[in-house]
Amino acid sequence: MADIRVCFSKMGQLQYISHLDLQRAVARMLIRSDLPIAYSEGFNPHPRLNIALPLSIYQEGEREFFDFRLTEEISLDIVKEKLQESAFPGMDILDVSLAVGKLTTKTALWRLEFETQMSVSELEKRVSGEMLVTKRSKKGDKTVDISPMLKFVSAYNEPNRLIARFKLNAAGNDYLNPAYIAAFLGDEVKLVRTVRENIDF
Amino acid sequence: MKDYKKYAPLLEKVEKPGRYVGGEYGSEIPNPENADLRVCFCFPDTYEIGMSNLGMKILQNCFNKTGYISCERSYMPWPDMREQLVSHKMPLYALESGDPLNAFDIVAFTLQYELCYTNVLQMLGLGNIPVLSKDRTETDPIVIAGGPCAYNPEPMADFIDIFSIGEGEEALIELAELINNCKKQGMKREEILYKASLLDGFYVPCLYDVTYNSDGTLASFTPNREGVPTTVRKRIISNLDNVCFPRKCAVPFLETVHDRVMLEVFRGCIRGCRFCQAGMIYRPYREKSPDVLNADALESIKHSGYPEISLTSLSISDYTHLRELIDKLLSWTDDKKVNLSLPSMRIDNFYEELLEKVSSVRKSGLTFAPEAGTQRLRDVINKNITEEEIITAVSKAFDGGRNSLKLYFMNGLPTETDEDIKGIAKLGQNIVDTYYSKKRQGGGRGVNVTISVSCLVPKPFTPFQWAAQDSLEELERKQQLLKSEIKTKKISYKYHDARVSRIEAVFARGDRKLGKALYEAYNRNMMLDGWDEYFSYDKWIETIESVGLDASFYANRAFDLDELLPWDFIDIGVTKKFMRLEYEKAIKEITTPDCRTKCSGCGAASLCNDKCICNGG
Repeated sequence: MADIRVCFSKMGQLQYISHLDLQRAVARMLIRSDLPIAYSEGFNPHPRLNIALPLSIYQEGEREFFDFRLTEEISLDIVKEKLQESAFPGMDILDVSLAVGKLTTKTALWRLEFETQMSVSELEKRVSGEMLVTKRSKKGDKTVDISPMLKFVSAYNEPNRLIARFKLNAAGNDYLNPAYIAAFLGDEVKLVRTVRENIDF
Repeated sequence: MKDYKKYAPLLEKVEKPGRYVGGEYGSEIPNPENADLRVCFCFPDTYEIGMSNLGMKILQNCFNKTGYISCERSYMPWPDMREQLVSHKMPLYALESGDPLNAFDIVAFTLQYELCYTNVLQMLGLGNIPVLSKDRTETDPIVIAGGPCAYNPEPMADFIDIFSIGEGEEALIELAELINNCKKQGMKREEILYKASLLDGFYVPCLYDVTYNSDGTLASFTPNREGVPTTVRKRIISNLDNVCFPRKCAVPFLETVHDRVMLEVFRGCIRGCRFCQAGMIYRPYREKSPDVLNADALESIKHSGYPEISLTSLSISDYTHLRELIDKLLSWTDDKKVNLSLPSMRIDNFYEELLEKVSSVRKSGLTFAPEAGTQRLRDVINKNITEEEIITAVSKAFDGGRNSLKLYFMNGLPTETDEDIKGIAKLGQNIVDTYYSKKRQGGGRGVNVTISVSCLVPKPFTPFQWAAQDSLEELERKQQLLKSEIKTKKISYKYHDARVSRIEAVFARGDRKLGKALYEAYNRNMMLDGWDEYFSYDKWIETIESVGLDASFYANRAFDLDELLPWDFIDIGVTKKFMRLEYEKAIKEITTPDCRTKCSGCGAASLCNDKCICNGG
């Protein structure tokens, strides 16, 4: 019995696949791999599988994570090879290791690509103070300051583009969707690509 | 899709972008752009429905296996995506290459139900292909269509260049080969269509002229060019074990309607229910061997990762090797945590034994299809099942701890009276009483019997093809009558929208004149008629009347037994004489035994060297 942690990418057109659909696709991938995987107990057993942190639709992930369980000891190289063989287009198996601890996420590093004329210094100015956005919830709209939940990392310009990195809170009860940054920046920018580069545990 | 970025601005505006990008595991096809002949297989309904269609998977696989043909997929876009395509002035495209439909040599549609016809027109229009066959030029694709509704192709005759009648695995490859060779020789479109009409199993509507009597019925149906056959005989696969079956299929990311491995056990049906088109058009009965099926199943699971296999055939318990097949499958499915589901079972002792075996994996819902409420009417439709058999089976199921089941019935059957309608409620009540007659104690939730009633749509190539559909008012009256007859809350009653069934009946028994109505519907932007939120009965009636036609002529008229029917030129093996005999027996309440008990000489044997093969192996 061994808990395995898999680092994978979810790129390209996989951005159109929802988290729920991804879970089903990974479960089928595990079955296809023919590895001795552990199943859940109960009436309708399915592969034991835990994906770290959902990506919203239209977001890509360069280093995502899931845990699953093997019922026999198998070399990690073989596990990686078998998973890659059964993976679907857009998913690369980057790293396979023994799982240490639970998949408790803390922060995530994001790369946001904006279609805009905004310069790097202008962006730095905008994100240096309070960042008020309207958050929608079941209880109604409310205005919150998202600046405590993010850290500006770096940015550079390309023609008509601004590419910026932010570190965002990514804990279960303290998660910031990067779409709010675009919402805060308003009509001056158009978010054209959202990539989660890494997740910290 | 390689070039999905081209469509990114559209995709970010739609509810389910996953429908429009392909890229599923197992969906890769080799070099689409370099193939000699490019086919786009279109399913005229949403991705989730189209991806559930086994026929399309089989045929796509047949094309791609040739090496020189590449076959891609396209589905009917939901209105949000349609709007994006239109506003961005981008054509509907195929999911593998992202190329527009008009870039293909052949565009193929499967016609699974009448209410998808408007979607076919929409997809052609969105794909920048002239909707009317006569408007297409040398650079346009050849538009072909097949599937169950192609057995009466006439309402779609204005829009389809070539219809494929019958099973397509061999026929479509022959057609593609012909088209490929003709194109290489620089042959004109008109000549290619003519050549296609000479192949077995293909109907080219523009090569036939139609005249009508003053009452609107068909007067003549004749080829307008030398050599074009007067009848088109359906194609069948004689040995199912040798025909290609796709063991590696695209595994969708989205949840589709049938999201599992589908195993086709046999084709045809030995039962001969008189309302059932599938039971006639798919004759003769032909089986696959259990060894081939078991290998198909194992490989399909391996290549898909699906946790479920479903046996899909018309009346699965008629399979002569069912026990052997189930044992073979169960020898490995448990171990691999694979569920086995068995739809459309007849109820007998073996069924009970099977329930026990199969429930070790998963219990699926219990359904019965008595179709009519009284024995008299069940004899009329040749549904050979008695109330006693139903009660015995239900009773066993209750003993086994089940407490819910579903019953299927039909309204509007020929000779139906109010007594037959009341009989449905009585049968339901008897089942409820059976449950409570058992001495079971404890705080269970009680029993739940679902009665689901559809309306008869008289279909071509059935003994009821001459029968009138009940008027809308009569169908709705019967639905309300049944409602008032059901006295217990233990029965939940569901019924189909009779207005939908009426429009289905119009097109099911329609002729070529209806092409005008479909084209008018297209111009009025009608589509997705299979969806409650888009189907509009009033719009349909208005559209049909606007082109000078009358829905009652098609739906509610009893066709004369000697009338020339729009689909008479198609030969399905089963003879018109046999169907007429069956219709006459129906009215006299005389049943016909199933094909295994006694051959009734339906005519299907003519498709396999005049030797009846319905006895299985």
